[in-house]
This record gives sequence, structure tokens and C-alpha cells, in this order.
Amino acid sequence: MNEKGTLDAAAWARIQSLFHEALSLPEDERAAFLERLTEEAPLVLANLRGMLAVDAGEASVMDRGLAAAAGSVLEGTAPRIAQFGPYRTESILGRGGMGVVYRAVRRDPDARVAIKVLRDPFLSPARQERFQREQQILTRLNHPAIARLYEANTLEDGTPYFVMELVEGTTLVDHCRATGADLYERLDLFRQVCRGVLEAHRHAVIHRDLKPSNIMVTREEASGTARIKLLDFGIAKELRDPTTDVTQTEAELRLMTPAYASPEQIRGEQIGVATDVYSLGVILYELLTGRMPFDLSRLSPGQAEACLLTAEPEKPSIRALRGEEGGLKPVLVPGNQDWQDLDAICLTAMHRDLKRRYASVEVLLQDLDRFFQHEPLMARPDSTSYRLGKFLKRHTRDVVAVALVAIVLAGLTAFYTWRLRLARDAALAEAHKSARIHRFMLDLFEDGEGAGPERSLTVAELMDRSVAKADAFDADPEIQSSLYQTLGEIYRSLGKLEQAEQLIARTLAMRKARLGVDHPDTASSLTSLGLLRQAQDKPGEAEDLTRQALEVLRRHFSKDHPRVAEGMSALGFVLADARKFEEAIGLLEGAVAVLARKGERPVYALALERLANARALNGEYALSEAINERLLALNESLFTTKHPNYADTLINQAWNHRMQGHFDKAERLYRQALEINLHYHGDQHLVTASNRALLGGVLEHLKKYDEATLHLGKALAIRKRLLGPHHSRVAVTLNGLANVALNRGDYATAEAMYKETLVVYRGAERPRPDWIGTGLSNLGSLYYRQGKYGLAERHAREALASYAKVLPPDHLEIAIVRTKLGVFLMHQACYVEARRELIHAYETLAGKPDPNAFWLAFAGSSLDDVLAVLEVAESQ
Amino acid sequence: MTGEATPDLDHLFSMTYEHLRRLAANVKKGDAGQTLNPTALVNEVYARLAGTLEKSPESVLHFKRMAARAMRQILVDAARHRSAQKRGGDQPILSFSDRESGGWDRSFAGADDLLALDQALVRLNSLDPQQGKVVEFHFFGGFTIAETADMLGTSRSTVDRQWRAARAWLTFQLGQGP
Repeated sequence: MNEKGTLDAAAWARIQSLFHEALSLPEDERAAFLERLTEEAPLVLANLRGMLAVDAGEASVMDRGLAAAAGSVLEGTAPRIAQFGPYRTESILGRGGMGVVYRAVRRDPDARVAIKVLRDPFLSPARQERFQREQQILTRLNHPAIARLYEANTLEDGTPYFVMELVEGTTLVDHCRATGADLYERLDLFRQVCRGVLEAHRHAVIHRDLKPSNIMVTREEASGTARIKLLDFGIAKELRDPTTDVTQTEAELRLMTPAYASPEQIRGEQIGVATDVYSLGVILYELLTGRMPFDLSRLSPGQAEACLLTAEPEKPSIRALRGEEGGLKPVLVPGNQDWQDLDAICLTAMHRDLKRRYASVEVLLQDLDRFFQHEPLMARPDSTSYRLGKFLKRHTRDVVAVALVAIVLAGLTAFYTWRLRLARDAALAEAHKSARIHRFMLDLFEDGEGAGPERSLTVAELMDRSVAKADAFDADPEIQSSLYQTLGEIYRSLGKLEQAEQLIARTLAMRKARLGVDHPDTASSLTSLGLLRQAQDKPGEAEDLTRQALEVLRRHFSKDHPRVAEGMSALGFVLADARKFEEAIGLLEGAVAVLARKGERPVYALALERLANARALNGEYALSEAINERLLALNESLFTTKHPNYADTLINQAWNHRMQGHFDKAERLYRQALEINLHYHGDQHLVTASNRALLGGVLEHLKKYDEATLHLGKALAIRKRLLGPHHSRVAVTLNGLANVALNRGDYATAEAMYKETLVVYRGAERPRPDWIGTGLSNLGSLYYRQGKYGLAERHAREALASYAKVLPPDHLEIAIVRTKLGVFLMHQACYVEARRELIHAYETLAGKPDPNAFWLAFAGSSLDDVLAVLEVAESQ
Repeated sequence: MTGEATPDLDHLFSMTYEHLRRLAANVKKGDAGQTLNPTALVNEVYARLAGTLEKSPESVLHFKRMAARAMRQILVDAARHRSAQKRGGDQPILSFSDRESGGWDRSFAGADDLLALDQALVRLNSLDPQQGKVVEFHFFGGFTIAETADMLGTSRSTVDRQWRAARAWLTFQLGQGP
């Protein structure tokens, strides 16, 4: 019998009425009641009997409740996916709020990885975006304490996943419990955690969900040393735009774990680096005492929140008296005098009042260092942090300012305050270690380089604010000059040269007045100004300044000191750009040799890059290629193969391939770089534009004209928009498009574009003869194609004259233009003259350590032609 | 969800999902209802989203109805997905021989039950829309009988009777097979 099709509202009403009537009867009378219903329709009776039969039972999904229903479809039911690309899954490592993490293995080469896949992606686009954001954040972070991202992809059905470093170990608290770690072991692990979090903050990423279960401890195979790995950036947040109110929508997509959440998080207020500081404080509390600061186990969520917002935590030393809980012993016996300091550090880190909390992880780390060195803490009453807190008070509402001011200014202030207690000279030497703060600032802003209007606006606002804050430091000129210089260099890297000029010049003046000319800090300002002049296209001044700086540094340090090497690196860079290759390469080789042994990796990488570029500029592409291979390996370990720095090196390397005529290799590397840059910078960024322009140039050589025009066209549009129509880069792009037009036979377009290019080059503030030479040389090629050999010859000669102003006679560009000139002359039957040019060109090209295959072959075959003609002529 | 599409809906879904999953995880750990019950969760979701909603008694009721609908939608979507996987859906599924495989099979049964329940509820809704809402609010929304009565603007005893009949009928329908 099929009840389903025929039941209607009236029948249903009847069924219910009988159902309730039956239920009102004692159970033993119900059978008789049903017997009496002979008038009812069979459908009504069947339903009624069925309902009464199940009413008493407790069998269906209906009775197990919502939680059980959720349990059956949302938990314990992760899709067991066997294969992700080349990876075969082995087991499930965990299930988080966003996804499932698998342990997976790849054969050939052997690799074990963790793969995180978004769980139930079909449920909400917001979750997909958040998952994507975690992946983007991990792409940016590269630190031993943060699990590394290898690649990201999607399954066939569109489910996103990413492949990460496999972290096998135990959680932080479990590790300490199992090993019985003592105070120093626990604090060492805790400091590693802090450093990982600090790395994230340096990339303007707030983790927001720090808790022991997200912190793993692994053992290094060789040394057995315990190492920390931070996991789960699933609700991490990027500090970007200070104007967006993030509190309501995206911020709370997922609940934090209340026990570790900061008061401002619970109240749904804006959060910043201090939020992570709070969570670190709670973790430290747990590590020190073996107990949580608040017992929330019997409270409803509302009560728990109220408790976290209002209750004062007991001092860790007091809480430790209550004895262990869950097997983790307190770290010190009661009464140990170290408790006082540990109490202060811990309670300052988790202070409810933002103004009294450590303003940054860096300050927390500094206090831990002081604890180890038995120095007075900042966290102790009436300490600097309180005064600092007052200073920062005005900015607590502004997330980005908090990130910036807290990390940098607080770091510097703390550093200098501390320093005053030491002998001045020793401190000055130490002060250079604060270069890492400096470098951090630059790293933080590197992302903004040449950014599109939206982000540069934000960065510009930030910068203006930071400068205003630096202005407030006039009581301490030392801090102030450090800040001005740092901010000036950031402006320089943002391409805001006027602002950079003001700040760097001011720093230099301050330092000259206070320290004199012959001081390493003054030298550092000189270098800074020199590199700014370089960016301003004033190579003469750039050279003078960086040379002067190097002389000062050499007077103060031994010749293999890293600071001297840094000075050599800067001067070498400036000289290479001025085409003074011999000295430039000598300096850079020297700098690389020192920095390879003694330098910080990023500084060494920068010197290698400059050397590779100098070699390439000098036409030594094979040598440059070899250096770039080293740099690629170094960058892979410093960053990842997804990092824009890696892309930069790929691009430089592609140029070497291209110039050796290996266009297919170049194309491959440019495309690899473009993928990284599109992912990292997006489509409207100058870096992406430059990448497209280069790829377009190579595609032109490979005769893929449509694609070449597409990439060059996009590059031209972005550059015109961001740089203005008269910028040299616009000219270079026009030149590339002109080349494509020429090769397609669209001579009118090509000629117009070449001429426009020359107008831009010649109108530059400081015209570059070599660029003008290239423009003329290309125009010559165009006329040659059109059979206008005389005109072609004239342009080749002009090009040659222009090149000769700045390039040595055996330079590749000169050999190329002489090859062209030889061919143009040949077509005008000036064979003897042609022979002279071609022989010269051929010999120059062949004499290079790494001859350019294309031009060598072209010069060679042209020379053969000329010689054949002359032979015939002479034999007659 | 139909009709009431607002920009916050995606967030409502996303948060509701997180809550359901937490609830589910607690079930698995065997301590469901200790500190989390569905009503508390809905209240929490509301508190988090409240800033973007109008604050009036009417909007609170509207929100609760939306939340119940969101919970139903998410559970049914998830069940549909699970069920498709069982039928050799679109992904290569690996059957690990680990201790969790038992849970895997059980979950398919749960998924099919939920789908069947959803279909039966559609029929119930056509017979008596208010009764359909009772089931949606009380079962899928996790609201108590009293809250459900408030949400529907009717008496507790009415909702109590409607729920008991609906529960019996739906259970009977589930036993009948598709």
C-alpha cells in the first residue's frame, strides 16, 4: 500500500486527532480503541498504527537529537581521499575547524608531507576564501618555527588543498609533561614559539588562535634538539587596511578557543599583535604552573567569557601552590625567588589592559632574555613598558599603527632604554645588531613595492603616521635618526623618492652633527643616500656617496668585516649600473667572498644578486648564470619556490638564457616566475607588468606573436597607469611591442612606436645613451626590413655613436649593432666596408667567454655572404 | 535558503557550520551538552552577528528562524554529500584499515536517515506548514518547545502536540523506507 501519494491535509488532521485520542487512553485500552475504528480509511489507519507503534520507542534519528545528527554527517566522516596529485595518503593526522589534515607520501623522490584539504567546501564560499587566505599567509611565512607550505592545488571537484611540511611530534604541553622538561627547557621552547609568532607579525599576520594544541614539538634527527612548529593559521588575519572594521564579519567566522582568547577578542574589538601576546601569556602560564589561569570547565560560554573579562588571574607562583593538574608539574618549587620575575613576565603578557600588556612579542622576548641574564625586567612595576604603554596609548585603536609602532618603535625604545645601562661604546657596537629591526621594517614593506593605488594608499598613510611618531622622539636623537633612516629607506623602496630624500638627508645631517663624518653610522646614512641617488638616476653622486661610506667603514673595521663587505656590495651595485664593470665586479666578488662566510643570509643573497646582475650587464651571461644557480638554491632555502624573491632570481636567470639565445629556457623560467608573481602580487602590479614584458620579448623571438602582443600590451597598460606616459619603462615596453609589430610586418605601427620610444628616452631627465642606442638600432632594423638600406645604415651609425659614449668597444651591444651595420652596408653593395664591420663583430662575438649563439651565427653567415661576393669580384 | 538573501547569510552559514561541527566533535568525545547546547550556540551566533543585524525583538525571531533553516540546510547538504560519496561519487575514496573505519560506515547510515527525514519533512510541510516549522525549529534548530512556541507565536501545549504527532509520523515514515 502506498500511503505517500494520497495523504491530504484533511486525512492528516484526522490521523492526528485519533493519535492524540489514543494517547490519552491507558496503553492497554489502545488496541480496543483501534478495533473500533472500522469506519476509517485504510490509509488513516495504517498511519495511525504506525505512529502509535513508534511513539513509545526511542529508535529513530529524531530521538538522537541535533548533536547526534551533526555527529553522523559532520564528524568522523572526513572524505578519505587516496591521492592528491603525486601524493598518496596514509592516514589522517587531524581534523580542524576548516579542514582535514592527511599524512601523505610521494615516491621518487621520497617525501612525506602533510596535506590539508578544506572540509565540506560546498557549504560556504566564506570558508573557501578563508582557506585560501591561510594558504596565502603560509606562502609569505618562512621560518623554522612555522610549518612550510610546499604547494597548493585543487582536486578535480574543485576542493582546495595544500601540501605542507609534515610535522610529527607531540603538542607543547604533552612534550613538557612527557620529558619532565625543566624551567630552562620550557622557556627555551616558549621562546621558539615567540620567535615563530614574531615572524608572522613581521609579515603583518596575526595568528589569533595560539594554543598548545596548535604548537608541536619535534626532535631534530641529528642533534635530538627539540624544535617548535606552529600550526593552523586557519583564522590568522592580515593587518593591512587600518580603515576597515574587521570586527564583525570576517573576524568571527570561527570561534577562537575561549581559554586562550584575549579580552579584546572576546569583546569583538579590533585586534592586533597584542592579541597574540595575550595568548602567549596564557601558554606561558600553563607551562610555568601546569594549570590554566582560569578554571572554565564548569561554566557556560557566557559565564566563561564574563570570567575572562573580569577575573584577575592568580599569580603563577600562587597557582603553582595548588599542585599539578593533568600531570605537568610546576616549573619551580614554591618560594624560589625566580617566581617574582616569572610572575611579572607572565601577567604582563596576559594583562587585560592593552596599555599594560607587552606591546609586542619582541618586547616579551626581550624581557625573557633579561630574565635569563638576570637583568631588571621591563615588566616590573614602574618600568619602561608602562611609560611606553602610555606613549602608545593613543594608538591602540588603530590596528596597523599598533603593529608598526608596537613592533618597531617599542623594540627600538626598549632596546635603547636598556642600552643606557651599559657602557656607551659597547652599546654603540651592539646598536648595529638592531639592524635586524631595520631589516624587518624593510621586509614588512617590501610587499608594497610599486603597489597599485589601493595598497600604496594604505602604506602611504602608515608611513606618514610613522614619520609623525618618529618626530615625537626628538628627545633622543639617536632613536630618531635610526627611525628616519629606516623610514626613508622604506620610502625609497616604495618609489617615493622625495619623502625618502627628506628623511635620509635629515638623518645624515643629524649624524654628521652629532657623530662627525668619520663614524660608521654616518657612513650607513651616506650609503643610504647613495642608493637613493641611484634610484633618482644620479649615478655620479651615488658613486661618490657610497665610495665615501666605504672609506669610512674601512677605517673602522677590518677588511673582511661584514659591514665593510656590505659597503663594497653597495658601491659595486652603483658602479655596475654606471657600466664600470671591472671595479664593480671586483668589489662584488670581494663582498660575496666575505659574506658567504660571515654575512647574514639575506645580505649575502643581495650581494650575490648584485654580482650576477653586474656580470649579466657586462654581457657575461654564462658566468652570471652560474651565480644565479647558487642564488636560486639560497633563495629556495631562505624563502620558498613560491616567494617573489625566488621569482626575481628566476627572471634574472631567464635573461641570461635569453641573451645566450636559449629562448625556450628563458620562456619556461619567465612563465614560472609569472605564476608566482600573479599569485603574490596580482595582475595590476608593476612587478607582474615587468614579468609580462620580459615574457613577451622572448615570445616574440619564438615567433609567438599573438601571445607576445598580449603580454606586452598588458605590461604597457599597467606601466602607463602607474608610472605615467613618459617613464623609461613605458619606452622599453613600447620598444618590445614595436619589435613584435616589426616581425609581423606591421611596419607603420613599428616605426611609430620606435620613434615614440626614442622621444621618451631622449626626454628623460638624464638620458641614457645605451638605451637611445638600442632605440636607434631597432629603428635601423625596421628600415632594413623595408628595404630602406641607407636610412637603416644611418641609424645604425647613430646607434654606434651613442653606445660608444658609455660602453666599451668590445661590448655585446656594440658587436650586435656592427653586425647590423655590416648587413645594411652589404645590401648597398659596400662590401669592403661591410666586411670590416662583420669581421670586427664576428671576432668580438666569438671572443666572448659565452658567445651569443644567435648573433654569432648571424654575423658569421653574413660574413660568409660578403666574403663570397668579394671573392667573385676579386677573381674577375 | 530562499528569499531572504542578505550579505550576512554566508557568514551565518559559515558560523553555523562551525558550531555544528563543534557540537559534533563533542558528541564524538562523548560529552555532548556539557557546556554546549544548540540553543546556546544559536544565541552565540546571534551575538556575534548582532552588530550587522537590526536589534529588535522581531529581528531576533527572524534570526532564530534563519538559523534553524541554516542548520537544516547544512546538515542535509552534508548528508547528501556523504551519501553521494558512498555511492562511489566523484572522489577516489580510500578505505583505511584504521580503527576509524567503523565510524565511516555508520555515518553513511546517519546520512541516509537525515536525507529521508528531510524528504518526509517536505511532505509534512505540505500537509501542515506550521507543523513543518515545529520540526525544523525544534529538531534542526535545537530550540526547546517553549522557544519554538515563541517563534511561532502559539502556545506550548499546541507545539507539544504538534511535535509528538510529527515525530511519530516522521519516524514511521523513515521505517517505511523510501
